[in-house]
Amino acid sequence: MASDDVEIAAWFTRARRFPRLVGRLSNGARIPFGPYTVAQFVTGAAMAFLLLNTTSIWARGDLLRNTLFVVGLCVATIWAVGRLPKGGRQPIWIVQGWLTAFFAPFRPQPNRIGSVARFRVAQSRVEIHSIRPRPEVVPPPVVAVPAPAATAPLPLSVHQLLSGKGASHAHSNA
Amino acid sequence: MRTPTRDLTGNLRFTRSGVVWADWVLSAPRYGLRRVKDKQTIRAAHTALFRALPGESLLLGVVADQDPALIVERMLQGIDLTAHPAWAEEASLRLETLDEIRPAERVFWLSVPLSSTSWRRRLASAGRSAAGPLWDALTLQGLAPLPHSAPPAELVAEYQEQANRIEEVIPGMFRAEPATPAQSLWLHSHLMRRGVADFDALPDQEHAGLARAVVHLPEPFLDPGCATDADDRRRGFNADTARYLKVIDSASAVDRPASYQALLALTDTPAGGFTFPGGELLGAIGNCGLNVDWAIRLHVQSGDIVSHQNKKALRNLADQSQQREGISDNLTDLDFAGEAMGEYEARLASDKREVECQATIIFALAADSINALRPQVNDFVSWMSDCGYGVEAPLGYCEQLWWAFHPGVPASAAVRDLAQITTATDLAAVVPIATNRVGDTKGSILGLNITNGPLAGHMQPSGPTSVIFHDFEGSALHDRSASVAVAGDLGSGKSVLIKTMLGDVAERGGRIMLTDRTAMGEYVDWAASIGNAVVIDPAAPSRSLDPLKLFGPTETGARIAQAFLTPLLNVAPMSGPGAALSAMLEPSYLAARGFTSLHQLYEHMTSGDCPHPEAGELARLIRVHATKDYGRVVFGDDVDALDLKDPVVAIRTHLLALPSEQELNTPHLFNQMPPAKIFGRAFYALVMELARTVCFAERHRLAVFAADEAHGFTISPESLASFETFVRDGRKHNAAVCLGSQTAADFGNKVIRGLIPTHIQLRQADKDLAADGLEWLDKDLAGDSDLIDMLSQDTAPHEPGEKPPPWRAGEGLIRGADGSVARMKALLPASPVRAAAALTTPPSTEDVMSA
Repeated sequence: MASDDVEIAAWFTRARRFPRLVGRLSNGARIPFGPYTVAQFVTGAAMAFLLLNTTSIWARGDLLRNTLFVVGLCVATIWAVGRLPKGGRQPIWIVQGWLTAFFAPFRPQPNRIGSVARFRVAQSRVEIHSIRPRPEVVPPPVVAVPAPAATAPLPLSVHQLLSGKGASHAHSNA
Repeated sequence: MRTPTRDLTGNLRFTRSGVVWADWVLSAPRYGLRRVKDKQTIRAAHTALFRALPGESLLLGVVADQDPALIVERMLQGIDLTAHPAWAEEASLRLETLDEIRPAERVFWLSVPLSSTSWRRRLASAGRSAAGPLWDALTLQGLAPLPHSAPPAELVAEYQEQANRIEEVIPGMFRAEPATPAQSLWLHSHLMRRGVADFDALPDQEHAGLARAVVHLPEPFLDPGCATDADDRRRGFNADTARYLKVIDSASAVDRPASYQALLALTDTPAGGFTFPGGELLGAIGNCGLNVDWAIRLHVQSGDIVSHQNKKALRNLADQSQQREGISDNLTDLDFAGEAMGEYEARLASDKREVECQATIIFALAADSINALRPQVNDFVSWMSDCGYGVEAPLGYCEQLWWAFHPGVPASAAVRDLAQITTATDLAAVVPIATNRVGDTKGSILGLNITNGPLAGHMQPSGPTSVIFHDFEGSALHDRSASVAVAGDLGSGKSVLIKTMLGDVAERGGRIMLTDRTAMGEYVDWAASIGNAVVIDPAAPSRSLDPLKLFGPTETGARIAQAFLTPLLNVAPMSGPGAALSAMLEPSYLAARGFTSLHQLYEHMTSGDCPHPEAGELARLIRVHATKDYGRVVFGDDVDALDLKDPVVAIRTHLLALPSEQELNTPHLFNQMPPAKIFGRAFYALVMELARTVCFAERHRLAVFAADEAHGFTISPESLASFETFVRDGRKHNAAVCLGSQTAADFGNKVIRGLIPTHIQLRQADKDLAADGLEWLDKDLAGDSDLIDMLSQDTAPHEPGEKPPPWRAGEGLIRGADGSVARMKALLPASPVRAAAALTTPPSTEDVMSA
């Protein structure tokens, strides 16, 4: 096989999906312990917001302890989010997947009493309509209908003639 | 989530969401091992297909069983079974072996959502879909005022027209056929039952005639993480099974096994790109040796939109290098991104028609238990990683990825997030729609197509396997020769394959003339075993091959006698004796004297009645051979002529010596040639002439001339010329040759090689001979070192002194008449009696070597 016939094809996912990191503030100053991902910023801020608005629930200690608690939890969140794989998939889908997987075993299941009946009738009604009737399907009635009128057994046709229905019957069929 | 389909009208799928999808079944072009130019054409068709599918679409490649009954039907096509009951028996026995092998093929399915053009239509569609569940509920309670109505005709017509427009732009190479409702229902059931279905073949187009029907599709019960297998008390997240999906067909939850499926998404691609040809990931997916289904969720965007997105990405890239400079040591991802972006922009700029393909590529493996599935997944992941790709089953997404296989289901955001980005041209280089098919569509079965990998055990194919047909009869109708040539080492299964093919021809009502040069007479033994065969052994002839006895003093008899006597007596046609011989072989001369055998002619020459003075010299020359034991087969007076109506004639030639090429080309060696060699050379010319006459006699009956050790016929110019005429004209007379030889070099000149369209190269342990064999097989494959290694080492491999295991015996490469090349494994006849006959091998191969 000649080597000049070989081409190189490529994937360009890397060109568009690279980790977006934030290492400096808008004034160019370095952010300590950076760089951070956008997700780290968002989750850190969300955690701080959540904790500061729910102090009535959890704040039991003095100011120092409470401050340490908030700072500690925010740092832990930022650290944890920083451990997520960077660059490829969106972190939100990764986390959603984890939650889905974790809670999946608690969904109704068919081998438990009570859910079997419900699960066994699960069906989808699908209707099939033919748009192009096949030629073999259409002709038979056309051929079959006039035939009985012509070759119907005599007693029956006599009966039909007597009752006056035969002609109209044949007519309506045709 | 529920099955999305609500109505199937032709190939239109009205879904619950109101969106209408159109489905097609595509035919794959033959790919396999072939020349680069053909591969480029097939890739170009893929590029055109991707460019023609703007927006969303779904391309599926799912493995379906081939119906063994249909395969057997193709064996029987055109054969009068009352006249050939043996073939009917072979076919019914073959049905059983096919059931064991489970031949399979990949079905290619394209599904495209159609967009509604007018607002009214869109509203009507949405209304119908919104009312759907309510209607279902009312119907279930018996309260529905009217039955569910079919989609209005004008709606169907509008969508049908859109579907037709799409169908028009699908490249003709893929022969798009609108999917029938029966096929759509099959797909639904396949996705639910893959890995556990007893029989899973795509219904063919013939079953399209469903006029109107209501089908209750069983809803799948999906159990991500296989929690239903766990003990109730230990219910909860289980990392071992979390990535697998258990699919239970709800209509048969109790009596049918559940299908365990692994859905893997392509998440990592080789950074340096991949080669074409060579890197056809999806085209060669069968090479992984597993029955893997794949789906491509495609989102195609025009070049303009992509440039905009790329500009944004470039700005981000510049920003990133600022953000990270001096802070992060690791900037390699940005370097990669920059490099890839540069190349991407260059590709888009070089072709204005280029589009971007965002492809989520999903693979599905299935088995009847987790334990059977897990090793498959491990094998697949490592095979992909050898190819430079990364696949993973993203945690929590098995259900969504499973639904992504369904036409009618829109791709979810999470599924789109798994997309890989490339251009249509680059995506086309993975050649998804391709098949390794080789051979004819009916006839006799030569073997299995094992391009995806050799059998793993008795009747255990690795990956989808199909059967290879060879149609001896039909080829003549299609204006090409049915001739076959088989090359291969001693013990490679060459003679078994030839005997199997000949057995098929005999049972299908064809006639056979064969020569057997083996010392043990294996072909003769075989011929004797199939009954009604006549065996002619020149050492002890039971029938005479004297052309005058066979054809009488006719034009044909005289011509063949001349063709035999000229090289035998070595007289120049224009010399005195030559002219005398020619005059005596005039039909009128022979008829006037009532000569019906060469013996009578010989006696005439020796008697004083002959008017030709050279007759005495000619008679002396004839006597040299006529008095020898081998001469009786032609000159013997006491041997009856062969009946030309005998369906199988086998001629033993093992005792006949043949001159070497040197002896023929060097005058002094030629003059010293022993009479046996001179007779041998002339006898081959005689057999060839007889074969041609007999095989060409009946145009409506197939006749095959078979010769193993083909160099007997190709060594002398006379028989070579006769041979060439046979091959050249055979097609017109429904006659074919079936040749065997240890090396491909013996198949004569280029013309003969070229005129025999089907080439089979079995194992060839010697690398040089393997290289020659490969070149003979297909010129474009010459010098391919991987294939040479495969042919010499990984074809029917065996321990020294031992035979290969039966499931690997008879492996080789086949080039079909259409130029497709594939790996094959020859199959023995299904009938045990015929198989035993084909397997008769000489007790010692040394005997054959010395013969």
